[in-house]
Amino acid sequence: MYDIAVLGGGPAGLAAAVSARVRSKTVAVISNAMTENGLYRSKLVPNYPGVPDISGSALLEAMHAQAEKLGAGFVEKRLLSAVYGNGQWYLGAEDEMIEARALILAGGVVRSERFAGEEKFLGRGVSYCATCDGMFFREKHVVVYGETAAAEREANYLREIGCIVVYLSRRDGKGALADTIPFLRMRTLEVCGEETVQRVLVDGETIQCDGVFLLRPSVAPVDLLPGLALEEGHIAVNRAMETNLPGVYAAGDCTGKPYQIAKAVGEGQVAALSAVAWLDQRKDG
Amino acid sequence: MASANVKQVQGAEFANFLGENRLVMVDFWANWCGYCHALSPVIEQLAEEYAGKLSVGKVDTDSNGAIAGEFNVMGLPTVLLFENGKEVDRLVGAMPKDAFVKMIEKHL
Ligand SMILES: Cc1cc2nc3c(=O)[nH]c(=O)nc-3n(C[C@H](O)[C@H](O)[C@H](O)COP(=O)(O)OP(=O)(O)OC[C@H]3O[C@@H](n4cnc5c(N)ncnc54)[C@H](O)[C@@H]3O)c2cc1C
Repeated sequence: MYDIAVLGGGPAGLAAAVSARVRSKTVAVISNAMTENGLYRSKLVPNYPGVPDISGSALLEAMHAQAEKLGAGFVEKRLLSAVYGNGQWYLGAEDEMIEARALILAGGVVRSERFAGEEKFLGRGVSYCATCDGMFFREKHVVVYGETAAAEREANYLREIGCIVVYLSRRDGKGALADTIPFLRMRTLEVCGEETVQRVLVDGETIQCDGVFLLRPSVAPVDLLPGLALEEGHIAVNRAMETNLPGVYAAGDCTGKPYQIAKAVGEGQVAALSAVAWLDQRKDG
Repeated sequence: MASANVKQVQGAEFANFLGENRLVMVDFWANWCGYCHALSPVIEQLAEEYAGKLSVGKVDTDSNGAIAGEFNVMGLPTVLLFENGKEVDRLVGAMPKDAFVKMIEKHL
């Protein structure tokens, strides 16, 4: 069990992890690979104080290394669920369960999106995690939707365990996808069936399948934590970076504009210090 | 992963188990499923709190693929609620205890 779990390994999450470690709290950062962060592609960050000629990748790598050196744990997986019970958070990161007392949301800007039929067939053919549910679809036809290298690897995994895979993406290029997996560019997706999934409509074209893996890189905070208060589409926080949920803090782009590194870093620190103070007040520390 | 109030149900026992009570709840799980382990204590608490009114069982999908298939269980954890042997509700994925309480109370 960790004192603090941080969702998101961008500037806000990494700054939070650094501050939490400096205050001797155990901390786990749950995030997609750093290389998937939009900032990683930036050649030059001209406005972060102290490091005038740095690239986005170099800055992220330096922040990551600093947090790691201070003893932060890293879980390079997608956080898919967050459930509170028995005074702690159970955080489902694909096939791994991370337990923590306090939670800092620093997942950046994520838009909420649901495909038609997605909710209806969840657990009846729709899955968010190949390593979790793949075994139910061996020898069966599955469609995988993804936008990241991690999703391509999950599609390869499904192929390896014996699923017959078609990969859909809004991104160009097959990336790390195995040659044996057909790749389709798509705009819209609809999941159809009766009791269970029987087919999908991809831009109106039918593909027969038994399973649909929707491997979005991130989940909108409200979908993760129903009951989380928003303000104009961002997570509502006060100056201590507290959300409306006890023991839950938010920092960075997810709390609103300006979408800037320095603002994210500052909020990450405040969120961590607030979480530390809250943990220290609790009797079970 | 069993306790006094939660019965591990295997293969052919399943049909009989559904007849054990008017309301029967079954937790489909597997050893490799992280969520399932976190859910386990919740299922045990529910079995204790609703003892008598609700029978609770667990099915390991690794050794009981046929049962999972019969009930269209395609993701873990999946918890099914049966009334008089018929499925009346299900919850998929990691869920707080409240969600299970709500589901059970609806059919008590
Ligand atoms: C190309 C580019 C150039 C930029 N240049 C500048 C600049 O020069 N100066 C400046 O100040 N700002 C710049 N920005 C903006 C800056 O990058 C952001 O403001 C900053 O990264 C926000 O930090 P954050 O930690 O809040 O979120 P992010 O950096 O977005 O990090 C959040 C991370 O969490 C991950 N995540 C979210 N949900 C989940 C989930 N469910 N499971 C796992 N992982 C999840 C995301 O994948 C992401 O990696 C630039 C942005 C881009 C894209």
